[in-house]
Amino acid sequence: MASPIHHAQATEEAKRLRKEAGAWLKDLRKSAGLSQLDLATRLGLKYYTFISQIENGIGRVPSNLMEPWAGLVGVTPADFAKRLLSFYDPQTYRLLFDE
Amino acid sequence: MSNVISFPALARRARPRADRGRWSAAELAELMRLFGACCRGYAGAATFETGQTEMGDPQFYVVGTGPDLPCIAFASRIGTSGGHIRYVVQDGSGEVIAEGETAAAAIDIAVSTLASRNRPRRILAYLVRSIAMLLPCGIAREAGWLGDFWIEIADNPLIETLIGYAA
Repeated sequence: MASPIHHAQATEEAKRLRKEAGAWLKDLRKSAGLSQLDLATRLGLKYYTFISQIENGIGRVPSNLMEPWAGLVGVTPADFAKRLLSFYDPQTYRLLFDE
Repeated sequence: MSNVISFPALARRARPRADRGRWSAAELAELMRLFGACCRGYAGAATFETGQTEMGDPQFYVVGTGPDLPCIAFASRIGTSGGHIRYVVQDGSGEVIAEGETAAAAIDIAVSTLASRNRPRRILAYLVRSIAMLLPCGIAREAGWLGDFWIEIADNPLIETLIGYAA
C-alpha cells in the first residue's frame, strides 16, 4: 500500500501535470485564434466556463470532446489524445508509448 | 435655472458592484455552502480553489484530493465585464447543475440537486454498513451461539432480513 507521503507526492505531481495540460490547451487555442467563448460555442457547450475550468488545470477534456476539440485547434485527434494521456495518466502513457 | 439635481453617477456607485475576477465576501459565504454540499456527497477529502476565465469572470472549484483529482463541482459568475450577471454551477464534467441571477439562488438549486444525486449512494452505504454490523450475528446464528437472545432480536423483520443478507 502507498504511504501517505507517497500519496501526497503523487497528488502534487498529478496537480502539476493537470496545470501543464491546461497551459498546453490554452496555447493551442490561442494559436488557432479562438477565444474560450469561440471554442465553447463551436463545441456546442452552453457556457464557456467549462473551457476555463480545464485550461486552469482543474478538469480534464472529456473523451467525447477530444475529436472535435482537436479539429478546432488544428491537431490530429490521435496526437491530441496521446498528448492528453501523457498529462492525465502518465503511467499508462509510459506503458503504451515509451520505447 | 433648474433646482433639480440628479445623481446618476452616485446612484451607480452606491449599487453593489461585482468585482472583476474576484468573489465578494457575501458570494464566498454562499460558495462555502456549495463546498459543504459537495463534501457531504464525496467519499474522500475535498478542497477548493479559485480562478478566473480569460474574460475576467471568477470561478470557484471544489476538487477531490484523490490521485485522479476529480473536480466535484465548480461555480462561475459570468458577465462581470459587462452585460447581464449570471451565476452558473456545473459538475466536473461541465454539466450545468444550477443557474441563477444571484449566488444564493443558484447555490440553493445546486445544493438540492447534489443532495438528490447523493441520496441513492447514501442509502446503499447505510445498507452495507448495517449488513457489515450484523454479519457477526448472522455467523453466530448459523453457529447456534445466540440461544435465547436471538429469539428476542429476531422479532424485528428488518433485522431478520439484514441478518439473512449477512449470512
